[in-house]
Amino acid sequence: MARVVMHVDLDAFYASVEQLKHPELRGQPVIVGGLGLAGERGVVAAASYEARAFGVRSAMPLTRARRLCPQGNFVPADFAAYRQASREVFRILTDYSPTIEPLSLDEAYLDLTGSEALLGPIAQVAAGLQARVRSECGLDISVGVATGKVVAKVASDLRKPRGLVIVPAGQEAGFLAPLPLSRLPGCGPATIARLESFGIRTIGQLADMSEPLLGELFGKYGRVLHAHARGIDPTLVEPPGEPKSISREVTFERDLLDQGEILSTGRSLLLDVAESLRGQGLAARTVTLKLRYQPFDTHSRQATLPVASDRDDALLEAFVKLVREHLEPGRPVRLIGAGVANLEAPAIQLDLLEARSGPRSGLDAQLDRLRQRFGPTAISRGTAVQHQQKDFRRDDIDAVSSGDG
Amino acid sequence: MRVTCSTQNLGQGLHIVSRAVSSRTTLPILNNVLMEATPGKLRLTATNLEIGIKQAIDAEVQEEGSITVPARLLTDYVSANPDASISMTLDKKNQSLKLKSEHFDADIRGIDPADFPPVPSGTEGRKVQLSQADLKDAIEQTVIAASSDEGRPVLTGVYAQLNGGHVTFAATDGHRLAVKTLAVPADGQQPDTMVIPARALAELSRILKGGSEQVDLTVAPQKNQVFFKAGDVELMSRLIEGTYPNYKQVIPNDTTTTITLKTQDLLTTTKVVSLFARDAANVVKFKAEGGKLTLTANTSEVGQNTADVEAKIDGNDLQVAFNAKYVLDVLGIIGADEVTLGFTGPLNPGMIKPVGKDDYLYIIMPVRVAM
Repeated sequence: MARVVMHVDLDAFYASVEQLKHPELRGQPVIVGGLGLAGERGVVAAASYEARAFGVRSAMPLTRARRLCPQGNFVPADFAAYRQASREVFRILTDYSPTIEPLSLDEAYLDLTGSEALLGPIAQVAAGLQARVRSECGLDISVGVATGKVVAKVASDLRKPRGLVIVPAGQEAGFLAPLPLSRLPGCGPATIARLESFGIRTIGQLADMSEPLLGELFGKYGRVLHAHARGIDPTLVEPPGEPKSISREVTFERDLLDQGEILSTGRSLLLDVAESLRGQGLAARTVTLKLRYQPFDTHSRQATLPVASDRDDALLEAFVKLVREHLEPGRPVRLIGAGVANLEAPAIQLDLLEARSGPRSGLDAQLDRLRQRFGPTAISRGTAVQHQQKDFRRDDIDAVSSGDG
Repeated sequence: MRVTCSTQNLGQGLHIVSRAVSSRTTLPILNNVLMEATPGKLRLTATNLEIGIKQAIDAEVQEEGSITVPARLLTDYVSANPDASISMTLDKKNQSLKLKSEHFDADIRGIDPADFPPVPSGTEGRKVQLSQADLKDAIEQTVIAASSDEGRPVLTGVYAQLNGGHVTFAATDGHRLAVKTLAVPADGQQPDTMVIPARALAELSRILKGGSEQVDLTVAPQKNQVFFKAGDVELMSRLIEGTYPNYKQVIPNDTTTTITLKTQDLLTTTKVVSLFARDAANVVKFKAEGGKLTLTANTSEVGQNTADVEAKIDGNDLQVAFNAKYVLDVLGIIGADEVTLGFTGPLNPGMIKPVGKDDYLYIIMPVRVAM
């Protein structure tokens, strides 16, 4: 029996929640990001459809958004409100399937295989879900349904906002074929540029390429790309379990040479990771570093700690050492990632001297509380400069999977 | 140089001094042992620049002189040699040492002793006399708590304080602390403090005999070296520079739960239970409840192990977790049939003391776990 996988995506989520909170903003261009201060640096976390009409996009510097849309309403991100709204939507989703894989606060996969007998035809189910979220939460969602996750995601994205696209079993490749490469998840600018140099512009053309050639071009990822282009994606909808690792990464807008800047970005990523590690009541034995110089020239390195830790200082020390050992000077860096693995229930050896563990681990917890209350930009360690490309949506995954946000 | 001595004496002497021979060095002469023939004695010296060990053995010296030869080869050769005595003659022109015994003739290439770094003796400085057995105990009971992390050099040493009436040794790696006090005759001088490399003390304790014979501890007037002299053996060590942390402030004044039990019972139980903690940071949980002490370890993938230990418990019920290694380390060397454990809470330092003795104290910082 073919699987029935649904991808649900809230439309302009952060901005829509702001418009719910502030009715006077409805129908107005709303841009979420930064602290709402004039002239600040920072990036757009979300833009309402009204603002998108002016060309404003997520991850764009706020200064540029202000130039494009001077009449826009710029509001700081209110994560507490977004988490609350997200919880309400996810509560509705649980009425449809027990198998839900949250991707972020505003995005999830549902496995609805075999649900037809219970819920009715899938088209009605999807339309009913959209109506319920609209009436109970005041938010719009787009829905895609297919036999696998990748096609379902492409489908939900195709007719945003309030889109509903169902791809029947057997028609996946035909559905994808005419679409441009940029529609395929995982097909970023670097991959597209490389493929275009071979004259490949559509997903269909990609599907027709030989697998060995794609393997040659993109390594292991090439084979995955080939399968996805033909609508094949056997990965399961997986509810969040015990995480095996936690990581964050950032792709720089321009390749970076400045080692200090690369390191400080890495540090702040690692501090984010450490915070969610503590949020989930875990400690890590392994710290990981990911560096990408050129597209497809990605290096992963790891270091093992003598004892598992959930402390900023212990994890940072290992991470900074990794960066210093492995960052090749003079090579422009495109992406840096920081992570932890080998997670276990924390057994933290306390320290006798200078009360190092007492006050310091207390400090971590205090910082966590401040950031939870006031958002991730509220406070940071002096050396961890806020990087501009912080991907808020990745943070949200942990917020959702840890349950209480 | 011409000298004859018993193979056994020479072998023992070489065995002792070669502990100071560098295992990794770029200076070839540090692989060598210095041999100096003086009237009636053959003096053996080795050093790795951090520590130096000298031993004089009885010998029949026909002609004085000195040479350095590879310590490893000479030690192996002498310990394997079945003959009763060995005669050694220096061929000064070739700087080589001829060794002759009943069945063997050997020729070992040496290096000019003028190049051998000086290993001073503690002739001047403040001197304290201790019994070899006491010092050996004090070392064994404290070096276990010293750090092996070179990142904080001062913690790789044992802190020693010479005070009128007693000598205190203390070591900590930040997770545990061991403090031992030895009584000595008051000398009316101001206290002196120093940090002695734990490695040097570990070597010293191998040399020391467990008897009542004396050992002299001498601090160089420049406070940069310490000397120990026990009979015919001398050990010199450099001292570690830096300020030792004020360990006294972490010693709890009072405990709210006191547990007294047989050392062997606690040792055996901790050992058995900790087999199940190997993959879980070696954590063993101690639970004192309703007059009963229970030890538990569990690893999700392995399983769990629980044991009750016979003990006398006073005070509050309590749960606290420790790295089993830190507990086992001290129980092996505490030298008392019974121990007292003192606790004030799951996040506060725990204390282990020998029952009936006031000269030793071991503090362990707990592991914070979900109980």
